[in-house]
Amino acid sequence: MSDSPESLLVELEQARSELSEVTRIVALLERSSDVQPTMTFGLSGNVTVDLLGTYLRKQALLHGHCAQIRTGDFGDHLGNMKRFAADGTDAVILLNLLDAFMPAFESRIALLGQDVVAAQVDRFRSELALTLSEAHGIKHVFVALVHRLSPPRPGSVADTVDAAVMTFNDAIREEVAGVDNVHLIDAGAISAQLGWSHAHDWRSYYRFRAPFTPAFLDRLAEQVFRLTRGFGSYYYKALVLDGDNTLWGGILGEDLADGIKLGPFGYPDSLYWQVQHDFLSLQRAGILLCLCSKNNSADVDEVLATHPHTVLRDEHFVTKRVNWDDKAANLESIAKELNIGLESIVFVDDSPFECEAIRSQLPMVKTLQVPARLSEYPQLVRQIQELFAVDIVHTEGPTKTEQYRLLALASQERRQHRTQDDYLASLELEVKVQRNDRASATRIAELTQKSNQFNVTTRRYTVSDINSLMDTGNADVYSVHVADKFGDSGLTGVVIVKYESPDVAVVDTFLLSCRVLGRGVELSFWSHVIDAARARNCRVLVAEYLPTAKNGQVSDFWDRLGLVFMKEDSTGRRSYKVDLSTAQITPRPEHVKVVNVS
Amino acid sequence: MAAMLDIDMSTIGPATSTDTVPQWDSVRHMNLIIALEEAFGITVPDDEVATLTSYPIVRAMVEEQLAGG
Repeated sequence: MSDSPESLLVELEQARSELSEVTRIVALLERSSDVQPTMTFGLSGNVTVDLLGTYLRKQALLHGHCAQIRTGDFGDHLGNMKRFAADGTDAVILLNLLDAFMPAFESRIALLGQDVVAAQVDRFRSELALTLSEAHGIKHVFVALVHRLSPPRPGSVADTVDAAVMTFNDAIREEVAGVDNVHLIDAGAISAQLGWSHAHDWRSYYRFRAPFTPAFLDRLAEQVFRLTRGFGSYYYKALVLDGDNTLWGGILGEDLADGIKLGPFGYPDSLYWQVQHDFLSLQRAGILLCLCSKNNSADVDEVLATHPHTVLRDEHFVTKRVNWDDKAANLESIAKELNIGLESIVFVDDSPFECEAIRSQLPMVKTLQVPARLSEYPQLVRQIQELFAVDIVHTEGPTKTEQYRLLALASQERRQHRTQDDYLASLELEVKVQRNDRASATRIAELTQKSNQFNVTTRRYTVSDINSLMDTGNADVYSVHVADKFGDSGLTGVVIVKYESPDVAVVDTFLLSCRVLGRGVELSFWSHVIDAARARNCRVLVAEYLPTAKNGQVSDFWDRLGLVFMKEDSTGRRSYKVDLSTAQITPRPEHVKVVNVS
Repeated sequence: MAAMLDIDMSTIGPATSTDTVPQWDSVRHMNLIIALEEAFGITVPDDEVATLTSYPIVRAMVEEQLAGG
């Protein structure tokens, strides 16, 4: 097996979603010296979506790009979007699982009652609106519609979970309406295509909050590239169609106009009649239809003008090449006439010979062959629709697009009356701080072992370490509980302060679980820590940041808290201090209520 | 395994564990489990997922599953 980039790309395409192969080949291709990152994705989910990054990197490589991935904080779409926008991220993906809006949400929906669900929808809607309002500088924002994690039940047609899915998705559609950098992705449709149990990995969900299988994430990444036409790597404008056995069944020159197979009934007549409608829809959506057929042009004109069942007529084709010339020459002449590149053309023909000729002579043309098994033709048509990345909308009556535009007006109005402060205040955040609570020692030790990202020193402690710290009298171990009106996140933060010399308090450890990040929690409770240090007559509080591979997001935490930067050594270790008698730290965010229970 | 943990194949050995590979975190861990199941056609028992913290333990589990297959 050769390791040239070309053969690796072929392998990558063939690997489909297989995780170890994709990971290996992506890493090899990205390491080759002539590949530079060309784009950045930001991922934000209310579940763990890191693995999506691997498949986005795969798709990027297949489209001649090289992607870098930034993973946002768990569940903090607004904060993530602000950071992504500040970093110049090119595309952001917002992914929400219905079941993760509240613990065991799907099982509890019926029990919680409509008011709680409505409040949850409202909170989500506000968050989404604010998040999108921070997304102006970002070229593409992908918002996944929510779907159910538990498989749908054929016998349950008035299911409360389905009703909730619809309510959330209506809210999403309304909030994204009129925001022109947003693309919707129907995650439920991906699950349906793959089959529910192939799309979800329940074990990984319960253990790691990562509910999606590689196959699901591969399809999702594929959609992201389809919706953006490969982020500009292709843009198909014209669809060039053959006639015989492509638009109708049979050979016009032999079967004559009344002998070809085309019509609403019978096989294969109805199949060609159906795909002609699909091609007409593409034409209505702005795609340039062309005809390229080896026939006598008068015969084809007769079919288009007089065949009782022809859907496509002369006026639907922007140009025609009906002659006995070489098809490659015809395609070149079509491109020239329409003033488009050959790489903007999709060519469809039933003949393997013609297809192969175009593939070898004009490889930039996207050549697709009508399947030998004719019943698969509609699938090819769907593939063509996806290549053109157009929404097929009905033209009569008020369109969906129009309805969404009206809803967008209402939504924009709401957005203007809503500020981030209102939103944060509505969450009713409450932070409870406990000092040296022995009953929590096990959980505290576990958090020091597990937390990597929001952890300023990453010191690992066992339960007995924590117990003895609580006992020494020379240290305080704080546990931080976070709750909001939707529920209690439990013990999700730890601060350990050591009193090493009589008047110096040292912050040995500070960590927060990812699920409570953002929203100002991390800045809220420090006055309690400082009061306790002052009560012991400490004059100085000292803190430091020890860099690791994962905790880059807290490198400036002490600056944000308002401590005074002292020095940074060659390993990136930073020291800070604050004079407890005079200096002030950043005040507590107003929307967070802090309760001291120690 | 090397690909999933983003380390050099030649460095994998008895000492390879969550303690010696800094990037072996919970996300990579789950990916590693999924990749092992795909590559060997096995199913890692639920209660063993969290215990697979080193190369020798992973290897033993895979061999056991293949033998018991």
